[in-house]
Amino acid sequence: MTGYGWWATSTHPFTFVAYVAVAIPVLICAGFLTRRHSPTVPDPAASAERESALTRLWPWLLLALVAVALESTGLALGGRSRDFPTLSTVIDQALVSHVVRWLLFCLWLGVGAWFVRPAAHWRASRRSREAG
Amino acid sequence: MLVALLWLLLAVASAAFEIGARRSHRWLSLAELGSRISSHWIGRFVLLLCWAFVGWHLFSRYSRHPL
Repeated sequence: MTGYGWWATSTHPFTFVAYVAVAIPVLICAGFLTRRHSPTVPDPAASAERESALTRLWPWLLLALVAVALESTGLALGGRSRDFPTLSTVIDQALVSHVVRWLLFCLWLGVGAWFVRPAAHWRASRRSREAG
Repeated sequence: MLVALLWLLLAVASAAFEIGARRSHRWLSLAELGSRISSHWIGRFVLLLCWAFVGWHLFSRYSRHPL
């Protein structure tokens, strides 16, 4: 995975190979996720839990609100302003270094693996139930 | 420069909220939030799209000559 990440982040941006290098893990994750058929278990406490979850969401909503405000202001000012950079412009400064690109790519792959993990886990447990 | 620092502050705040959520359970952690969103196929699809967008935007469309 780290070797693949090193290769993928050594490709030139805006080239076909760069797009394919990202598309391969995306397609693998999409394949895992589309094959997942999670059982729907009716839960009487689900709606109460959902309400509680919404009230426990406020820090993330606050951060998202600030991020959206900064990003939209940056985009309204042209998107490449020195005084008001967008998130992409700030991250581009870090992405100049191949090592940082590679580390961020590994982090990105890790997030993708996290998406896939419950699907793989659920299928494995279903197989063991069917076998047993 | 100030706005770049604000972005950095947001990243630090996110990390702090995530650590706080895992320790105190007073609010949802990102992992919990992701699990809840991905419990439905639409949520999984949206998360996959966001993840793919981030991947292409960061690693296929980055600028070699930033400001």
